[in-house]
Amino acid sequence: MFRLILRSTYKTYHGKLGYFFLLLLMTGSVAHILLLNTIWPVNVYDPIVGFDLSVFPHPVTPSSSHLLGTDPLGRDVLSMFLAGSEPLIKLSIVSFITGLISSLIVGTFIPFLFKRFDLLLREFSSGLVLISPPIVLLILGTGDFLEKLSPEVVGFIYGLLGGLGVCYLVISTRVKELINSEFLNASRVIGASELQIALKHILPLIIPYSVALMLSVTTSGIVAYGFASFFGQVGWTPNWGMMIYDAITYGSYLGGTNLWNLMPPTFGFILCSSSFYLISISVKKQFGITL
Amino acid sequence: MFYGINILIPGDFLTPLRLMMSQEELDALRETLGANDPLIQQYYRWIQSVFSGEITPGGFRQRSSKTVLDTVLPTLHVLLPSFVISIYLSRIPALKTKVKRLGKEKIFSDVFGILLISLFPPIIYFLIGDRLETIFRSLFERFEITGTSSEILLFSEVKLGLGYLIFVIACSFIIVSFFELITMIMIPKQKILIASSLLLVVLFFFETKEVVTMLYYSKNAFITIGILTILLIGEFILFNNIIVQNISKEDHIMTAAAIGYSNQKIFKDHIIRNSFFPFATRIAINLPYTVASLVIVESTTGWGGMGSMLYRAIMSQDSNAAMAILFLLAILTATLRLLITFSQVIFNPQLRGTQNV
Repeated sequence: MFRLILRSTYKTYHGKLGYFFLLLLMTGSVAHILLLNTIWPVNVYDPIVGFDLSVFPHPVTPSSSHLLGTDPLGRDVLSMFLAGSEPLIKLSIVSFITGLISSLIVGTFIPFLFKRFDLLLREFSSGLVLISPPIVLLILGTGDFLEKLSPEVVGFIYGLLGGLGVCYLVISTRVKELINSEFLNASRVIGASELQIALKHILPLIIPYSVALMLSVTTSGIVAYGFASFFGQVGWTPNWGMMIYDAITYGSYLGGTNLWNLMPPTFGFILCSSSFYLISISVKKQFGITL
Repeated sequence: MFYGINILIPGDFLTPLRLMMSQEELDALRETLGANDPLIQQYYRWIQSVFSGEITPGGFRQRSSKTVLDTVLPTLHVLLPSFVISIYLSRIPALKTKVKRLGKEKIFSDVFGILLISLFPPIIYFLIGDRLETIFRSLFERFEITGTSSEILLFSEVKLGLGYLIFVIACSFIIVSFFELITMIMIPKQKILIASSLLLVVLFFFETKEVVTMLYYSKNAFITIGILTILLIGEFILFNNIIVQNISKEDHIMTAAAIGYSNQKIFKDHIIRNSFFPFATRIAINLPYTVASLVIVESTTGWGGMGSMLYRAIMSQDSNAAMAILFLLAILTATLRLLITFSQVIFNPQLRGTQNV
């Protein structure tokens, strides 16, 4: 099923563009590791503590040694930009997989096999939908969790909120629509158990819904992580939110706020969130999902 | 659920004081403020303050002078105009598309929508904040508008707040009319009429000093509205693309096109009317995310609405105040959803049962 989704989404323009953006980000992330281990001296090009002593004052405009210039704290903008893609890719993948697994497991079995719990879980999901995940991240970031909020943890929390929230509500509704369909009754007549029906008939039909929804949720997860990192709520990891914060805050009294400091992280956020959203549109189109 | 979140949030509003006070002093302060009382007792005090109409950090015995409810009107001052402007402006790409192309993929429009959503509020503020401030300053100088934001204290807060709400909604209709005129969609007679009647209401019922204060107050409000509108337009363009695409594939649209109705007529009479409920439902579902945007935008521009209050409450670990705002926002979301559901039942004949079909 997942191979079918991958193959069919690639056929659309949205899908092609989405995969291209994702590939671009992954290549950037790998290139950063390679460059830092081979060509770039760590003391100059480290995305957090790097500083170029040969250039002064910082920030400097794009040049041959610093292709995207440096930020007010003397760090190379290209290195920070490439390093910033890694946490977001990690977050997106963890969030997508967590949400997908949780929504598929809960969404397939509860409304179909454990109908009594469905009502309770739907109430819980409706409550979760009312709570904005970026706010939850902001709340967690203020407490003792700050150092533990790695991109993977944020992705897990976000995936769980998305999977058990909006995704469960949509999937359980779809499962309820399917419960009395003729092909399921036919399977029962020829002796299929309820578990077999859930796994062989229900699950494949709800996978595209879950994939499309979780891809959309992941998009907002990326933006939310950006917000949280801008406010310094995700610990000391190289990220684009922090790049924007540093460019504006330190730039205001260290050489001015410059566009070359702000454009790369903005472009990165656009690239990352559009990649997932475009693939999500593609899944919806290919599987006739009108959400 | 909100009380559950309150329990989950590590620390309380006194936690940041651990850097300045000893543990003994902190414990004594906790005891005085009732932070060590049983949770049920704190919950009772909080819920009591909700029903008395004063939602403050009321889980504790001492109350802050700034109530959460004071932030509701400033929030509406920026939220409602942003909604009005972005709902109308997000329709423009679809209105400029030919009907036969509406059902096809809109990759540029989609990417443009995502671009607007992904734009960081601080960056938008950096790009437009100074320019808007300069425009306002030159306008104030030109029309000799002098005053300070502190003058707001001289007038009745509720009256001025309601008047200002009418004023910003009128302004938002003027902005929409301006964009509709320059994009040559139509001559927005209705919107101009609504805007001028609302402005007349403000001029008749408010004193000159109050109107001048409103104008002065507008500077910060419009910067906030501008940033929020950009984010919302992106979101609504994506909604519109999906909804319009689905509706344009329906038989009645094809029939209307075959009869030879103009693009404008098909869009106005058939697509917009049918897209209202799916659009409203999506807005209601996305409200929590709008709230998140509000937090970021308000804390960037320093606007004193629920968003910045929530941000301050979270940052100072004042979990009761945060819970109160989240509770209010949840009520707002739930009310909006209920309204949409009821209006759907009232206005949609397919949902009214077989007797009316």
